[in-house]
Amino acid sequence: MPEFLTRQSLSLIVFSYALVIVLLADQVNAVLIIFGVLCAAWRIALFTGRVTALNKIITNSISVVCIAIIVLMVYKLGVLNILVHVILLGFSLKFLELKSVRDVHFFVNTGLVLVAVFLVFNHTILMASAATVVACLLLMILLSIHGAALNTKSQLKMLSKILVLSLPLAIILFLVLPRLPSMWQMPLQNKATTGLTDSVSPGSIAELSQSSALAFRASFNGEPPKGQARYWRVLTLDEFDGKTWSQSSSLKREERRARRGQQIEYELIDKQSSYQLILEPHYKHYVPSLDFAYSSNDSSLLSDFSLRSIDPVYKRQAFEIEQYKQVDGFVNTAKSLQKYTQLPNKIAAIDNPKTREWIDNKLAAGIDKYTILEQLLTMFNKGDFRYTLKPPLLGEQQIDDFLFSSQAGFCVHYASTYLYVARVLDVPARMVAGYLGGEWDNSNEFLSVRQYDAHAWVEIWKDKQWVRVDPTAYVSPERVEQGILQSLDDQSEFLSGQYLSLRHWQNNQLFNQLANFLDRADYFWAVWVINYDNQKQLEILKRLLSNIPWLNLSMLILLLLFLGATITALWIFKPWQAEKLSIEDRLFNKLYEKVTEKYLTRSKGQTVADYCKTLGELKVNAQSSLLKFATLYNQIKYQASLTSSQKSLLIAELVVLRKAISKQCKR
Amino acid sequence: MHDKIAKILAQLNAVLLGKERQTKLALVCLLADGHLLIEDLPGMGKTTLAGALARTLGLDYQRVQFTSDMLPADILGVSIFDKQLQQFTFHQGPVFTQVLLADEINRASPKTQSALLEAMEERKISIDKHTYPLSDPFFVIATQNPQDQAGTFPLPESQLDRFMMRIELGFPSKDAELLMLKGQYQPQSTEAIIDSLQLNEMQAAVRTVQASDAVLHYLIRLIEESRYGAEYTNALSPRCSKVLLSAAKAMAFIEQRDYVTPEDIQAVFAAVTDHRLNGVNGFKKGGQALSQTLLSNVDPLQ
Repeated sequence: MPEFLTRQSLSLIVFSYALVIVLLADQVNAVLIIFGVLCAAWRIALFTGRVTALNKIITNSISVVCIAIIVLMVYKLGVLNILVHVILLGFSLKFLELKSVRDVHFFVNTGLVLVAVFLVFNHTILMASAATVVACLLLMILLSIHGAALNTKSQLKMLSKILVLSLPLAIILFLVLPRLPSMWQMPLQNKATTGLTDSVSPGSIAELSQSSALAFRASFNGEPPKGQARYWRVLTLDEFDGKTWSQSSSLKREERRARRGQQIEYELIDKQSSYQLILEPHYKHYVPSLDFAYSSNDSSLLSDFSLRSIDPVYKRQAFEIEQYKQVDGFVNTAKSLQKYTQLPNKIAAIDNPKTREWIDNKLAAGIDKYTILEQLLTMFNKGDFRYTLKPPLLGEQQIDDFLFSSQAGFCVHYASTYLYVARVLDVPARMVAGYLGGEWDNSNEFLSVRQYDAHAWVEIWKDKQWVRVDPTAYVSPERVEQGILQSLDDQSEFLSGQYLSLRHWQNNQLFNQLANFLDRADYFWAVWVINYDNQKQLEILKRLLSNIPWLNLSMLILLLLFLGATITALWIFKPWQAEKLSIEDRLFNKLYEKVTEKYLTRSKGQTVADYCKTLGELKVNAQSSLLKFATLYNQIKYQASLTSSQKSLLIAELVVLRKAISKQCKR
Repeated sequence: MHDKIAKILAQLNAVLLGKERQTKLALVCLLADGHLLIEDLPGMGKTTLAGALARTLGLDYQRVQFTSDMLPADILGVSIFDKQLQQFTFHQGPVFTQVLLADEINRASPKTQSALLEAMEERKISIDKHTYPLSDPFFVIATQNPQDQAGTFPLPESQLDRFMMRIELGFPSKDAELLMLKGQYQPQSTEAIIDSLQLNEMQAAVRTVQASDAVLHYLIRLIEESRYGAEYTNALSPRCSKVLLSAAKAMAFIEQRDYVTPEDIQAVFAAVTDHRLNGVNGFKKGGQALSQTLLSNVDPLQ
């Protein structure tokens, strides 16, 4: 087989293949990548002449085996994952039969599909830029094949020219094309990237996993809340089994109901402000919110005041949220509050003896239970307690261990200890997990909240309402006021080990600026590009439409449809290229189409009259009409002296005659 | 006028049996005011046709048998000193006639052949500072032997181009020859059916025949094809396209139409273009003639 690829084309193909693999490395099984590398290596070996081409049977059997292996490996991961794997496998196996330009076309198209798939999973501007680069490389392959005569420089020039030329079209498509909801179920497993989990066991965490990944961004319409008020509620942990705090089954049930769209009647009073959240995909239903929230997007408020989206957030998604001062309608009876005083070994009362003893002593001294709780906070503040992200592990009696021996930990430790004491005192209390704080960008336009801003605090039932208590604030007020970096005694704990993260280098001026710049770009990317949805489309259209009075939406859609249809029709029929046929020629062509297969083909130089004459000799019953047809045709076409009325008469005659001949020829 | 033409054709066909196409083309050529070259082997009836044509159209004609030792003066005429008048007087040669029958034109030397050039194109001759107009109408009907026969000088392209048409007569059909040999066929005396004035009228009528844009485009495509197609060594000249149109008009006139159709062009095309396309090499024996290739390469319906 002669090699049709140039060295440049093949290296481009292999290079862009490698980049596509890198892009999708997170999504695909390692075995598949090994397959791909083998295939690419084989193709290079074929190019250098070390191996010979495979025949079709071998290629096909390799394909079948590979597909079987891959499908067996990934069939549990959901339709989308299987699809991604199969496409990528086909993409890799294409190396085995890269034999013609058509195969390269196939390769490039598949690559573009894979780039699109990559964009399903990734939404940041950096990733979008990376995807664009790979797409351009793929297009460059086409140029290197079809424009082989050009040198690399002019190929690049041409590529950029084509890209610039296609930009307006891309923008128009982006603005106008309707956004369809995704047609597949996003795979949810193994995807929880949030810093929050729905259960927390303070004793067993030696080191808080830190991630500088973005959780969400918020921009406020009006005055933004101060640092102390930026408690972003996500979920409530109200059940304790002695080690782990988790969500009770009644809360879980409520969540499930909310997902189905059923929600409890409630009333929000006294609107304060509103803000927009741009949530990074975390594949769960959580929507962080400030108390008390209402969102017009598909979401509902649970009785613990947390907000849940009806669909999981599997892409960057914007939520418009209104903040209210009060909420009314969630009735907490004494019975319903009971679960908030639940402790696993309450009756046995054998665990954490030191803590219980401390409480009992206070109670015996006749101190009010709320005062005891305040004393605990004072103890956190004045005592030897330390805020650290690397706490020691706790023993069997973890509350005792923490309160009286280790005295070091992060938010969860303090919250859980406080909760334990409150519940022993029969004060209804629950842990709230969420985010605290966030970081303003340089121009104070939006707040970025990252996974390392995750926080846990406590709410206790006091004076017939839930009151927020943040025990961590007593240990490390800086955590609340300024953020996590400032709260750490040893700042090297922050994002330790994550040297690749720009955030790790926050103390470096340059990196800090770069990080901020990227952040800003990404924010606007999210606001204007990722979240450009049908609603925004409509808004922009409406704004445009209000400038043109006679145009309303339905008119515009009709107009667009009409324009689209016209352009398509022009594109298909290309009237500027079509031969302009006169009526008599069209009539003849019609006649000719009917008779040509059956009787006689006109040779290229044959005139109509001659053809009719010859046909008449073959088809005697139509001979006279055919001769008449020829005469009429010649008259109409060549007799310049005809007036237009004479001409139209003759044409009418010709029309009749053509039908007659068609009939005669059928017989 | 048209019944006259039918009569003329009938009479010509009575003289030359089974050669309807050739006689029609010959008549077309004269109606289009062009010169005619008849090429064929000796004894095929070339001279008979030429003579019959001249007589039928009521034209006076002179016949010149071309030989290799012939000089231009033998055709054009010569000035001779007149003793009585004490001056040279011009004695007109055979060219001063309405139809000049140049028999076996390719036997004469190129010098003599070229003497005909001015006469054919300009319809006048210049001798001794005097210009003498030729009669109107003036036709040259030349006959020619195939060049591979001994003692012939091929006509140069320039002179070939001046003949509107070249026709070949070809062997007669078996029936026609049988009829001829049995002597049953008695050619009636060829009488003049029209005179030169009527011929002039007919020629004027031919000029009024219309050619629409469609047909002109077809003609131009044909000519263009000869210029850009690889297989044509000699492209067709603008003069050729002009005479092709006039010939087609005459053909349309004979067919009793006042407009030209592509069939007219096709009917005269071979006769008008073959000798121009082939040039001095003469017509090819066997295989398709170049003009036919050209015709089949151009679609009249475009």
